[in-house]
Amino acid sequence: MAPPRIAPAPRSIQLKHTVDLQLDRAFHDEQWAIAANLARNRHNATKDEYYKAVEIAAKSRCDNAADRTLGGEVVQTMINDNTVIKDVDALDLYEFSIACRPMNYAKTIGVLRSRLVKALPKDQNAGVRCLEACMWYSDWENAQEDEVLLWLQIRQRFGSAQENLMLLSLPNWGPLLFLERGFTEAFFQSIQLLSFNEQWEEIIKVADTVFDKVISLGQEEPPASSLAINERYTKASREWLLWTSSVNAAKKLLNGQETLKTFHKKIKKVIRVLNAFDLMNPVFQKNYDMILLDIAFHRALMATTSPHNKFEHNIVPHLLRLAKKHADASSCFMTLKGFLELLDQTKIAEFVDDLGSEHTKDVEGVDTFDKLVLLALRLKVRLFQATSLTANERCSFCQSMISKGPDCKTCLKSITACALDGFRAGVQDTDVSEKAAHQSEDPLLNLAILGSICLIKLAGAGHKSWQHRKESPLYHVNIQLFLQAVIWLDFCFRRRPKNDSLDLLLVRLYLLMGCVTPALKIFGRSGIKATLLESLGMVCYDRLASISPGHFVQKMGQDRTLMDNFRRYFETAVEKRYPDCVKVSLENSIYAGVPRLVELAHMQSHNCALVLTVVEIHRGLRMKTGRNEATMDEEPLIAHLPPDYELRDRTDYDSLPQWTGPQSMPIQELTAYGPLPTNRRCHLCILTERFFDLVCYAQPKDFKPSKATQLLQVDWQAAASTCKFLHTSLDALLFGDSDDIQKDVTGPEAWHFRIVSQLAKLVSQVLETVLLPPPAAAASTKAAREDVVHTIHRTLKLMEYQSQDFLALPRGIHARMHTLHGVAATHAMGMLRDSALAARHAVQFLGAALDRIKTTDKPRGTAEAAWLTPETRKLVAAAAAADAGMKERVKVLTDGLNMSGWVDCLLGWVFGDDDDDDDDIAGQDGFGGIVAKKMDLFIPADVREEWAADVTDSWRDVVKGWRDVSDDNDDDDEKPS
Amino acid sequence: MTSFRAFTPADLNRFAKCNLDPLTETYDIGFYLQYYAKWPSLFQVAVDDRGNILGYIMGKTESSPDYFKGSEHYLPWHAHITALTVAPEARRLGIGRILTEKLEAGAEAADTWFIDLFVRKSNEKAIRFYENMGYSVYRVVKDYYGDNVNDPTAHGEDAYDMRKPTKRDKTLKHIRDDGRSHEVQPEDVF
Repeated sequence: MAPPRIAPAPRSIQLKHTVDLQLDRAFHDEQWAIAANLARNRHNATKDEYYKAVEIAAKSRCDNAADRTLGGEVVQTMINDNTVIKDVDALDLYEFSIACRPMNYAKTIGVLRSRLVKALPKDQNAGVRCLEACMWYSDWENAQEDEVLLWLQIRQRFGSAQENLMLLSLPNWGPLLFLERGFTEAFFQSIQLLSFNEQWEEIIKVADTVFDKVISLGQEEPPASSLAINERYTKASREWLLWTSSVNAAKKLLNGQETLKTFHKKIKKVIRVLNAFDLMNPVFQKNYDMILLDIAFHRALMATTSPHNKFEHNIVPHLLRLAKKHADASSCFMTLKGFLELLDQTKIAEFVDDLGSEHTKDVEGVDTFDKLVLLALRLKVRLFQATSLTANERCSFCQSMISKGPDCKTCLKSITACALDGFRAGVQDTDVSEKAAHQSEDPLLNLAILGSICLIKLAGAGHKSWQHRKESPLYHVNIQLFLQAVIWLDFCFRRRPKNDSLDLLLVRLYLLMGCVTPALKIFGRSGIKATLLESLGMVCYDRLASISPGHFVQKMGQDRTLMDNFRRYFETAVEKRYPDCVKVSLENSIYAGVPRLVELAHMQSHNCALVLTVVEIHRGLRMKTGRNEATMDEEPLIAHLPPDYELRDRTDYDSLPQWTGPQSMPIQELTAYGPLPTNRRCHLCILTERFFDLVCYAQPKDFKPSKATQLLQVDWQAAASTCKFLHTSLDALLFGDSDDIQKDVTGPEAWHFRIVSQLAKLVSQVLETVLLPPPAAAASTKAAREDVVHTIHRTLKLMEYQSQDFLALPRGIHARMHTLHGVAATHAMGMLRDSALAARHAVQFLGAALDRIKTTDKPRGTAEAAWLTPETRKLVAAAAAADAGMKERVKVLTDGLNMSGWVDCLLGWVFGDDDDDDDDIAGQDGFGGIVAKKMDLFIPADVREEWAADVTDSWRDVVKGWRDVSDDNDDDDEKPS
Repeated sequence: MTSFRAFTPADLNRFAKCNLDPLTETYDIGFYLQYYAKWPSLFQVAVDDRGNILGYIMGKTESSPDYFKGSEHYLPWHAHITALTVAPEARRLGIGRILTEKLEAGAEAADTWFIDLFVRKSNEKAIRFYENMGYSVYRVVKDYYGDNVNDPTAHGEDAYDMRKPTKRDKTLKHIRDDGRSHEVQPEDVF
């Protein structure tokens, strides 16, 4: 966009309504001399300065040359005298008085408008009028701060890089002017705009000016300038955004290494000045340490000439200095992680070696707490290294050959053992616990989390292919190691019940083993409510309805079911809060805020959690009652989402410990009950819910339309078309994408969606080819019947597969272990239950349709029912068989959990040693036994027993919920269809 | 690293590190957005390099309604600190001070007379923090808080109404030295 070249026309003007008629008429009839005289008289009489402005405005249009220039002179005098005109109407008149001649608006009226707005911050009317006036004359300099921000947003969105550079480099415009005027946010946003446009030299130029100015302020005779401006420069010079933008810009330049060197020297001088002015808070000091390390890393990278060696200069000592200096900060490891990713394995091993001992008794004169802090940091780095390997690579720490990356199991075991030793030493030292209570960083909790992550990994958790896991998600997991991770974390939770990473990790593990009650309890105590639900809700609630429908049943005295508040949160936010806030923003002239509000509303309405919350609620209630309690049409936020509506998982997984290497499976996936939320899964769920809506719909009995037959035809046509759409869309999502579906759904979910797709096809086929053909066709064709039967048989096959997978509990194992896997596999039961319900409702829907046709055309209805009903009964039988299988499973689980001795059994699994004959219990290579012995030293017997009792009780809760579902199902079966 | 900037609504998805702290209240989304929509310069955040919010301050500018004008409790045009929180992992780095300074700069730009806030009488750490930043107790609001963190049997807990004058208040008429001996009732407070 080029700056305007045509001077804007003067704005029209109206006098105040309090002005008398005579003056008003004279002014608007352009009787300028009369108007000027009348205004002078009014001014003399009332002493109201407004009339003085009217007089000058009127004179500016008179023939007399002196009168015509009077306005300009008065305005200039007011500017020089720092006069503030607080009457926006008077200011409009002064603008009018000089607008008929060439003028520099930004240096004249614009200055007065800026003063007025600052003097009357509460006067929104005046503010908006001044803004509009400045916009009219393209005076962005005197537009308010907020408008500069809007302008920058517009430039970023629509301006070309060259245009933006030209505009931001104008003499009276750009980042430095914003800074000097106190528009700090605009200063930083303009730097970001330059970065966005890759204007590296300009960024360096701006940063140099800021740094030079601050360095000059530290000299004995600093240059004379306003104190306020100096303060703005010094404060800007310590901001990370300026530093990092400059360093990044330097990296992009051809002479980057030289520029970085210059920047390095300059920033040191700046820091000296900031220290002298006492402006270096610890946070800036920490930023300074980081920027120095960043510069050192990149200078070393740039200086390296060998393609085989990333760093010819030894960079490790720099990293070590930062690590030791900030070891007690919990953010220390995450800071290091960014740099560790740049190092090769040898350098990381070198770094770990230098980071301190793993034996807590080795260092004299350092207290246990500090030793443990350093140990936890060292082990975090080791975990990162031990999970960053590639296949057939030798671990540079333990020298083991890694056959399959990215984990070095030898190191994971060693880290676990060290963490256990350190943890025990800390737990037994009362000083450590006392000190930890007053620190933000508790090394004991870190050691427990570290050890548990290693144990979960060693146990074999984390499936890459959920579709191929027929059995319990824990079947291929070493139960002893898995449970040891859980009891360790739970022990910490009971001791100090507040650590976000630990709590959320424990929630995930409990859900994975079917312990829903403690998972919900811990999640509830984490304080996750209201706005936090959006970013963290899915950590706990995803797939919960299929795992434990009992928890969705409304309890006596409760007016809401589980997750209702989550749904209401979204409804209120999207339907009410955003429109309200956009309105408020506009009313307050905060225009720059509006795009950001719209952006958040867009993000929120494209959040997978929005869809899955509704789906879980619907599914949870349906599991219990066997029928749809509400339809998708009653869910305004997702009622009309088309299949191409892009949804994203916006869960904030940074609340979980992200300590493993970049190639390693992230902790949120490692501990998930299936693939994380995705766009594809959300749409599969929505389409499935729509199918339930259609086949569960029952027309009110008192609905007696006048043209019943015609209406029925239209209804069936609509239903057929909907089902065809559902089938096509479901199949497109299931099979149409090149990406394998296993990345998005579990095996039981895949079966369920495929079955629903086939049922949708069946309904559309029956309606279209059997019931809807005109009466002349007499009866459905053989081909049509064959197609229908084929679809039924295909559906039956899928139901059979799903039932087989559900029933595929591992054989030949200990009865109690059998129970554990059964409880852990309730998700498969949930999806089978939903498939069985879908089949029943589809058959009921078709049965009702056949009944209707019998009332209008009995012979035809009877004929069609004669071949179709026996086929559809097979579906009902398959659903009944699935229900019976589930009922049997629930009975087995109930009986299993009613057995006595669960506490001893669980503790035996956790604390059994490697001499145990049972292969299912013993840890790999006896490691479980080693861990058990170490844990035995710090987890007291009563705590263990309490934990085991809680686990058993929570399993009983889940199974009891399923028993209720199963009992209700018996009632359903007794009802006539 | 930590950088400072104005709040944007998308930050609400990344403020778990602050709001999972039991001492930080989490409100409905509308509460935060109202502040953003009305007083964006008084809503500042500290952010790490992964986009996590490590601290934030929320404030507003206001004055008592006109019908309060005759009252001794009338509050002229001023800024109010509604919330200031720093994630446990980012404490003791001076983040709270910088955020407060940023809000104060916004209050100066809005030409207010002073900046005020309420703090529990028992929260000595916070009181010390604000005193170090130039705030002083202006008055004690009796039983302002419905609960008492130190004594569950008590009816409530007093609040200190603390203030810091801005440059506009050249004669320091909006602060007092003996604020701790001036007691008011919750209904006197706007």
